[in-house]
Formats: sequence, structure tokens, C-alpha cells
Amino acid sequence: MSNSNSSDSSGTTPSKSLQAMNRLPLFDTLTTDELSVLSHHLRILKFAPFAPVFEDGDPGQSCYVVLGGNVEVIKVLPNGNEERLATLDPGALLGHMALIDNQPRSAGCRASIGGARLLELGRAEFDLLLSARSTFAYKILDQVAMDLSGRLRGATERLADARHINSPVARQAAARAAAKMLMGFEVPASIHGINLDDITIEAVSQDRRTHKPG
Amino acid sequence: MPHPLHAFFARIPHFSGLAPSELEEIIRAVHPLEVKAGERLFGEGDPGDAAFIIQSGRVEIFRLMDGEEISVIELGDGEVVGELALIDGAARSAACRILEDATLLRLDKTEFDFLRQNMRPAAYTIIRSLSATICERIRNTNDQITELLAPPGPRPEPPPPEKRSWLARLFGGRRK
Repeated sequence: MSNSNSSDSSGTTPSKSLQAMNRLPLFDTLTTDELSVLSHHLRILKFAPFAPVFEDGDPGQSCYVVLGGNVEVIKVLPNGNEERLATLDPGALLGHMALIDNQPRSAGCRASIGGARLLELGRAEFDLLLSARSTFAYKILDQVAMDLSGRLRGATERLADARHINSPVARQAAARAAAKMLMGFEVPASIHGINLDDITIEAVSQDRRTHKPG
Repeated sequence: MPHPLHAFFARIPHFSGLAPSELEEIIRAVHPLEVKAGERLFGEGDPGDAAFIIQSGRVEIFRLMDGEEISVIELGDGEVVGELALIDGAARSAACRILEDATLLRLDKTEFDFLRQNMRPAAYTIIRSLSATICERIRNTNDQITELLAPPGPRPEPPPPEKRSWLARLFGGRRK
């Protein structure tokens, strides 16, 4: 669904930060006025090289958008080996099933060699906005639902293909493609050329943090 | 006097969480549809333009694989068919035929999108519930992928009933 982003009533030009945030797939249907309110519920987190964002099986309490650096999605296989399922670029969305259900993380995520800068939205804040029937929470829910159903459809097709392959090596390759469909993120061309370093959260909103990042 | 459908919807997945006033909007949006055994409700690849709630009768979801029809799941009274269409309207990933004469309630995506564009809580209560189902299926798919990613080795061929089981799991059905 498309929503107009031109209904800002404040009369002032939105900050560079809000303009950049408005190009992220999770937030691109919000008005900059809505984003301005939402930004009080967001945090920016920095991760050192190889630092875990979360581990496979951790309780899921937040979703993230990559603003800088890269994030690797890691799955520990039944034999104990680690498999890198995807590398996420700036603009990518991760961990957003945590906004919907209360299940353990289905894979681990860690910053890659250059570290990572992430924007965090907690489930507690999102739930509060949803139960207040905030229109921007509805818009975010729409984006999350469409993203998740696209992943599910893509991965289901590829997994069904993988099941049909007799060669074990080719079957593994097809399973990897299914995993990438499930865990990866194709950053849309619309955010190429947008400087995500512009995205900052004002000090005043940082004071409103209600719980530690999880 | 509440609409007779209120009690029916109160036990339907994705609709049971609706407040009475929200349910009212959904009841106004659905249309009853009588279908006969043997009719096809939709085919694989058809546009996902509606979800169907089964009031009575039975339907079967099936897929074509290598020219062979493989039954995914049978659904009956109180179950919902094609509900992911409400979220993205994407093409049907499987086909549906009527097994026993059925009365369905058809919820058109256009009607649902009207509620959605008007930011009606009814639509978002349903989207949230559908999203939770999608998450469950994603986690399930993830588990199956993880099994396949384990190093190749001698792998016993699954017996035929197993084939049905993973298909049912993939497409979100439950084994009866």
C-alpha cells in the first residue's frame, strides 16, 4: 500500500535524520511527523567487530535496522558447525519476528569485521503503540507482515525444490538458497545513495529509554 | 441482538481476538458462498484475491508436483482457507477443491484493504494474528532447512505418509 508522505503539518523541513529514516523499508509509509514521534521510541546501538547482536535461541525482544557496517546471520547446525546464512547490508531489517511473537531467536546475528551500527525498536514499545491504535504502528505492522509473508513464500518454494533434489551436495545448495530467502534482506534500490549515517536519535529521546537493549 | 455470525467467528482462528464492534465490520465485509463437491475454489498461481472461512463442508488443498496431485491438507468447519492473500494478495501457492458441499464466507482482499487503508483496528487485529501464524511457519521452515543443511550422508528415504506431513507443515496445515 502506498501512503503519502507529504501530510506533514509542522511546516518545518524535516531533519536530515528523519528524511533518511523515511527511506528505510520499515518506515517508508510513515509521514515524517509520525516518524518524529516514533523516533522517541527508537535507539541507536553500536557493535564492535564480531560482537553478537543476539544469539540463536535468545529471547527475542527487539527488531533492528542496519544503519552502518554489516551483520552476519549465523545458524548453529545440529552437528555443532556454524553456517553463515546471510550477510545484511545497511538498510536491512532483522529480528522483526520479535515484534510479532514471543519466541526464541531462530538464528544468531553478529556484527561483521567492520562492526555495525543498528537502529532498534523494542517489542514493548511497539506493543504499546499498537494497543494505543497508533496509525504508524499499524503502518509498521503492515510492512512487517508483508515482509514476513514474502520470506515465507520464497523459502517454502525453494525448500520444496530442495526436497526434490537427490544429489546431497545440490540439495544443500538449494537449502542454503532457501535459508538466504528466509534470513537475508534484499536492500531496495530506493535507499541506494541515502546516507544512513545521517540517522541520529536526539539526546532527549535517549533519556526516555525504558529498558536495556535486548 | 448480536448478529448470529458473532458466535461463529468467536471460535475462528484470526477472528476470535476481535472486539464485538470490530467483528461487526468484518461481518459486513464477508459474503456467503455456496459451493458443490468437485468444484475448484482456486488454482495454484491464481491471484490471491480473497480468504474463505468454512461454515460447513470440507475442502482439500493440493499441489501439482511433477504432474502429480499431492494432497496437502483437508480443512473443514471453522477453518480458514487462503488467508495469506489478505496480507499480500500474492498468487496462490496451492490449489483448493471442494470435497463436500460447502458454505463458505468469502472475505475479499479489496474489502479488507478498504478497512486497512482506513486504519481500522479490525484489519490490524487480523493482520497481527496472521503475522503470528506466518512467524510460526517461518520457524518451522527454518527448522526443516537446518535439517537439510546438516552434512550429506546416508539418509533414509521418507515413507509416503511423511511426504504429506512435510507438505502439510510447509503450507501450514495440521495433520488430522
